[in-house]
Amino acid sequence: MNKKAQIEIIGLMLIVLLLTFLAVVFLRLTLKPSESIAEARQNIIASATIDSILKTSYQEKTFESLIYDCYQATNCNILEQEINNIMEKLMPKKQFYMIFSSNDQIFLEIGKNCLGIQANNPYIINSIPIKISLKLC
Amino acid sequence: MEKRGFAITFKWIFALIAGMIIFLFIINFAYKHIFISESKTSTILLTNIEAQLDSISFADDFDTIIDLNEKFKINLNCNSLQIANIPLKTNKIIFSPKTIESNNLKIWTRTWKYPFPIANFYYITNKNYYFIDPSYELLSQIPESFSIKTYPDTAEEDVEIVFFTRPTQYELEKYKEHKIKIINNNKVTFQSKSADYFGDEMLLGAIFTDDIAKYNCLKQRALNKLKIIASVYQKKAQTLSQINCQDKYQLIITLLENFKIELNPEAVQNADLNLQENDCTPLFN
Amino acid sequence: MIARLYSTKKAQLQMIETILVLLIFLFILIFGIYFYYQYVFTDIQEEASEISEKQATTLVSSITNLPELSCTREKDCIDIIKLINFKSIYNQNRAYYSTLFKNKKISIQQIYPEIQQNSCSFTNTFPIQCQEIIIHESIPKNYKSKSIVSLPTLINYPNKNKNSLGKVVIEVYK
Repeated sequence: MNKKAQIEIIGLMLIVLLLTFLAVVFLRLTLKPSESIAEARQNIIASATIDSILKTSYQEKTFESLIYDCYQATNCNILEQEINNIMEKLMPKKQFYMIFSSNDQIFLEIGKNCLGIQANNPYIINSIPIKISLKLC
Repeated sequence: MEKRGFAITFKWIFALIAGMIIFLFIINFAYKHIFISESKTSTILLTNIEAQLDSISFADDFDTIIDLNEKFKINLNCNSLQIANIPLKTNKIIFSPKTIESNNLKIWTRTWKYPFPIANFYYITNKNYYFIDPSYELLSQIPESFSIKTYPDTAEEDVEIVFFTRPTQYELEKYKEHKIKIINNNKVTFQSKSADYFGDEMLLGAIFTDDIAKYNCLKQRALNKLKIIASVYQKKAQTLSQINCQDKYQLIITLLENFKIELNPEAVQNADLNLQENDCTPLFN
Repeated sequence: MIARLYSTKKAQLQMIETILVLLIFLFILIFGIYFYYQYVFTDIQEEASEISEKQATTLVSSITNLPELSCTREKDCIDIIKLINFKSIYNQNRAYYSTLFKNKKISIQQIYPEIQQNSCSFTNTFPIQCQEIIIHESIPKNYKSKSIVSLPTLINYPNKNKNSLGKVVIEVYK
């Protein structure tokens, strides 16, 4: 009688051990860190957007010249207007925030600051270091 | 007759058989799981390598090292990559030894320009090379991560010797235990078989490939791509001639048509520069 | 006799008990294996989906640098003349490009300055007024899902030496 009870307890113990082992394996497999491809893609898109806009032609000039004109404080209206136009067509109904700065001094802001992935691209335009940041909200 | 003892024996036999069946089933399950895991690991690794190669597909003269975390044996065939019997087709032109067993891959990319950009060549190797009498121009192009030495006193084991001039009998005898390549008269000789090359980029490809059949296959794929790109520029020239400089594009259109059969990059390059000098839109300069 | 009857019934009960234990054990085993394989297949499908997303992101970046389409002096730029002539090149080398692009729809759209005309068929005449040019379209009959990846790019007019702003759009079908 005792032996039978002991055997049954050992059997029960084995089952508990087996279930614990399975539970540990299962938890290990399910708790994997998740990668965010979407964030990386947003960064690539933001960076490519800045690069492309800079070299786009506007009448006989390029946007690079418009940015330089804006930096020189001659005219920022055309730049702001055309960038709003471009972003509306490129990413309809999507908010964005763009900053133009040189030596940490912001000389133009377009849009409202928001939560999102930001790309920061540095350029040298007519020997002036200019940083353009674009945040896609 | 006492049936009691017999019943117990029957129980044991039954338990043994049932247990054996379950045990075999679990063993089979475990083997299947190992096979699936290995296949999955190989496929993911191959796809990741392909993705990393894709990400540098448009970089010219870029070298990097891909860390594989552990040692893997990769078969790099002309049209596919393979790990543990799992193949992955690739359209990339990868010049490399047929098999690499390592925990990292040294990769270098160059854009094959002949004379216009045609395709990106990938060079992957884990071997050491001794170059004898190379030109400085070629040697300076190769990144430091690729172990290239010149003028060895004694050759190490598992090193490939590349002669850039015709070797003497003494040199051939000295390095007879090693794999030898001879570059002479616009041809590369792999042990005893020769093959053409077109441009420095393809020459480097011949150096880093250990098998002539694979090199010829890759060369053919590159030449097929050259025909496609020549057609692209031919059509571009035809379209541009409709806008401006009508007669000036005729020469380059003819040269590009002939280029698909007989390679003459200097003539095509000169014709394109000539367009520029005549205030016509050049094709690739 | 009663004892014998009792003994037979006990034996039968024990046999039924053994068989039931075996059945339940087998049932739990099959159940466990089924759920395990479901998990493995779901995991593999998720990995495949992730890889497909990564490949689409890489492809959209590399389209603008394909020698068949790219500008000669700029990176990440499409030559409009190469683009409008690409269809004939594609048709001559259909097998090659089908393997390269697979089950996708790839188009180039001009965003700025805006062009009023919508998607157009290929012509070899120039200048061209097409807002969207489709360079590859291979949509499987039965697809489970579709994802869209796009990336801004420059579109260069080499005869005018001007750049427009466009985007490469890739629809991936799984």
